Amino acid sequence: MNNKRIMQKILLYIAVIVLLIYIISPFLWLIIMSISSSTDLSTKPLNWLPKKIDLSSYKELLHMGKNTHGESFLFGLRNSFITAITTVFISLLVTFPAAWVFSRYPNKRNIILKIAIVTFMLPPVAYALPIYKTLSTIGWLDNSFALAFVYCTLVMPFCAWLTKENMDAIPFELEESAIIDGAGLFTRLFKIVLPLMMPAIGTVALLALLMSWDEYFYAMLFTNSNNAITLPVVIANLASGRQANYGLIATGGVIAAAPPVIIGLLLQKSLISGLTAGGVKG
Amino acid sequence: MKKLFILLLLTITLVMPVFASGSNEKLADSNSDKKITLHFLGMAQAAYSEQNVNDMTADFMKENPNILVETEFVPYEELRNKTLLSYGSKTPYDVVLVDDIWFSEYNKKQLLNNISEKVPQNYKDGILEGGWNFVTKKGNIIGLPWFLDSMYLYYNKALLKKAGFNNPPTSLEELATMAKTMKEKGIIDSPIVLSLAQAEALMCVYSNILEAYGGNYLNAQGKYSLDTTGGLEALNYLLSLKEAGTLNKSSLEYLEEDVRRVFSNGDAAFAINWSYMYGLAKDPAESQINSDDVGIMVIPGAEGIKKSAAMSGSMGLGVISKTTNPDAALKYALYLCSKKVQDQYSNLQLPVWKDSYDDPKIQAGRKDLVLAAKEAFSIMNARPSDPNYQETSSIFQTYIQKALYGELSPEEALKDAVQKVNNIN
Amino acid sequence: MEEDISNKYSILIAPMVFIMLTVIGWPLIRTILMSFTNEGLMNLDPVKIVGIENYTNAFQNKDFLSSLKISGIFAFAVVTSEMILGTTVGLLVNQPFKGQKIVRALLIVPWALPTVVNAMMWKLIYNPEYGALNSMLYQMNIIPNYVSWLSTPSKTLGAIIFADVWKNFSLVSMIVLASLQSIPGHQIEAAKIDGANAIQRFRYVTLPHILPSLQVALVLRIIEAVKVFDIIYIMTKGGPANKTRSGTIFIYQEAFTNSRLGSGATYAVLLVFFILIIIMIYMKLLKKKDN
Repeated sequence: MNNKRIMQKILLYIAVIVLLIYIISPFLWLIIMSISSSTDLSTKPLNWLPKKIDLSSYKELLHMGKNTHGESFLFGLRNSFITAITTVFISLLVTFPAAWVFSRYPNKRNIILKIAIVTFMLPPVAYALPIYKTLSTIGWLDNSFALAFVYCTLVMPFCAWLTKENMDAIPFELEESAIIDGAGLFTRLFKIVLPLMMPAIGTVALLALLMSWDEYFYAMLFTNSNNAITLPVVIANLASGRQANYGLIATGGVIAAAPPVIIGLLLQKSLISGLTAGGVKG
Repeated sequence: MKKLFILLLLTITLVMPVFASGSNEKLADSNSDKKITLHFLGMAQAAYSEQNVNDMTADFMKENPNILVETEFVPYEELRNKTLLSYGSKTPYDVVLVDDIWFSEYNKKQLLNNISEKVPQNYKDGILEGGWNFVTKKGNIIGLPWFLDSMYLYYNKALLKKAGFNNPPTSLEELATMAKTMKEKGIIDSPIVLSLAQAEALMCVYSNILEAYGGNYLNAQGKYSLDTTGGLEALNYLLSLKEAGTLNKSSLEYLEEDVRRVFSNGDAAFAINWSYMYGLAKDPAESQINSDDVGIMVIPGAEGIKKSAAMSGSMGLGVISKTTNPDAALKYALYLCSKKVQDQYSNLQLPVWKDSYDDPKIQAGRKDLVLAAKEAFSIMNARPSDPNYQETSSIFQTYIQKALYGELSPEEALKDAVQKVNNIN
Repeated sequence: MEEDISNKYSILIAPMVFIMLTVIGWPLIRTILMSFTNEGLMNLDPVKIVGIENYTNAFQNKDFLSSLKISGIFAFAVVTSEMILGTTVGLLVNQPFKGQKIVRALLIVPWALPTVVNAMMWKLIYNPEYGALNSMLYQMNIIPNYVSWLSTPSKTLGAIIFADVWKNFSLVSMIVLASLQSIPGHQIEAAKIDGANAIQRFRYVTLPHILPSLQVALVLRIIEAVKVFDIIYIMTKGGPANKTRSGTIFIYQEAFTNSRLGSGATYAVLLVFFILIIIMIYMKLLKKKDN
């Protein structure tokens, strides 16, 4: 009996170690590549640990010089932030009141929410062609705000759905008693529901932020210069074969991954609860 | 909540400098509002490198203080799409880099300005004819030749010597036998490395072999007929290298830079690549092989058919027809193509000017490259100039790969490809 | 009366509906209209209505059908692997062991990595000469020669699937873990007292409890996987010999490389049907299970 226990424990720890290696090693290797010199990266078989730490790639990418890799990288970083934050802002602003109506006064209207969820399942390529044509006609290609607007296709249905599901958990009685006290629409929405919804909305916002940060397809089609090009496109360009400096590519990846990874590590619990909250019924 | 707040603060402090630097620059631009701003779309490549182009550009701006040039570089694979897509945007480029095979398409789509009247006579006289050929469409000059290039056969002299060969191959067949010998003697496992990824690079290699067999993409009526006009021999040749195991098997995912890495590491005895590799393979910072061991020659022809073969991989600069500053844009393009600039940056890319080839300064330390280039440019042929080239090319790429993977026989592959290509043209 | 009150609030939905109509509704309709024309990318020739010609061509296009097949295989393989691996890992990290907190926290790293970074990272790892994978397997004597992971037709799609599973299994396992932690302890104790062994406990207590969350994860992953573009486009651009060209990449090439928006739109419409069918099949299966 005791022996069996010990065996189980050993097996458990072996499994955990294997898991840990599986999760960590690819990203760890990317970090190691980013601080290795290019000779260390092109020896065969590889030098697993760099002979000396070489931070030149970081310097190159974070240095703002006219017409450098650093310039396009930093502009990409800036544009990614602008686009993601604008997207989240627009989406929340619009979906919060809508979700309130869907949650508080469900009726035939709620078909809109269903439709929104179905569109979430469709491939971006189904909208991309006309959107490209339109943006091109009105001269809005290569514009962060236009891109953010387009990102609403991805983010808004998702926000509406999650916000509504979370709101269902807040008892309507709270509002009813406020109505008796003579509270108007504004009070109910922003003074009663919103404070209670804050944690949920925070989670929704973070998930939406990660989605926009991650987006590549639209950004590749609709942006073409430092004005609006986002980080994923900059990195994809670095990685597409004409750039032989593996260290530089790896560094770009590490920096681009840093914000979402940090957010994830700090706020894992709320992210996951947000994702599963409404889902049980969906 | 607290965590969220800290995170927000962290983000803001992190991002602020980026915003600030971005907006400062904008401010600086608007202060001198007389300034003309040009946008140049180039390509991330080894020669001319982004650094080279930026240095040229900086010099240009010094000479023309009223013109500000913003450069941008994308990988070759994105260059054409980016040019077309940006053409529709509010901020199209003013000057773009154009591969020789795209001029027909761009001309049909009226993307480029006709600059026939504006090119100075000394350019028309001084630049190699081969250059003017590919930028002239229907009698109009729509671009400036920026560099003429061709693929060459590189060989590692040390490895050849080890196998007992004192001279490079004189025909494709000899190349194959030499490689086989080297493999059998255990000198090197896969002596030949080529860029045969499903990309334009494959078309460039294939076109050279096709040329070596005296083949042609089109028949006398101007229809694609690769299956009957020499295409099969060329494809069979590549396939035979693969089957003999002398071709590096990762070749089918390699682009030119991968080929360079492998050759420069001494992991291949033969490679086919552009002229830029010559300088880099000899550069100790970039290469593990001895600079004296880098051999270059024009790609040999097939036995009994021709002595040598070359297929153009040149590129030109075009002025986008939507530009609001056509004169400044042309001025910039002319500057990049000028003899002075081209001679100055000739370490990896040879100039387009005839006189440069006899210039001892240009020849210094690389006579073999200059000689090879001279020969290549005199026999150089071009890939078909076709408004649908991109689609045509992607069909051929797919089918050539299918044949190389043994999924289809070479005959079937080319027949299917030609049929498909003729359907769209 | 009740109806009146609620109609009053319809106005609050208006902004959302407006944005949805502009960025989703209208483009979708435009795509459908476009699919009956020969519209090009650059407006060079006047647009002509070609009727159902694009559709008849599409159904005969073997390349399109094989790209759908690749999307289907990819989606099936990644979703299945991610569900199995994710559930296993979720169960594993639910066991008590030292360092549990750290391991659970690190679980989010793969998922948080942007897709583009993930693709690029694996492309570097799979590099045939200087990639970590070949080097490692060779030094461990597992492979005698370096393998060209991304240019051996039989391995390429598998290599991409592996990369995608690495990133996305972690979402499944985190969802499973969250739901495992909400199982009331007394249920398991009760089952133990009743003499249920580990497998029975899993089958009758744990599984029913985590099933709803698993379904959420499943839907999310199927939706994402069928639409796959980024990871493949960055790793192989659909090569070698179109062996990894998914439906979305095919459409992208038709519309933007070949400059044919009209027929690109046709393929997009067909892809949407393909996805709707998959979702409907899934819904049917779910309903059956529920009954």
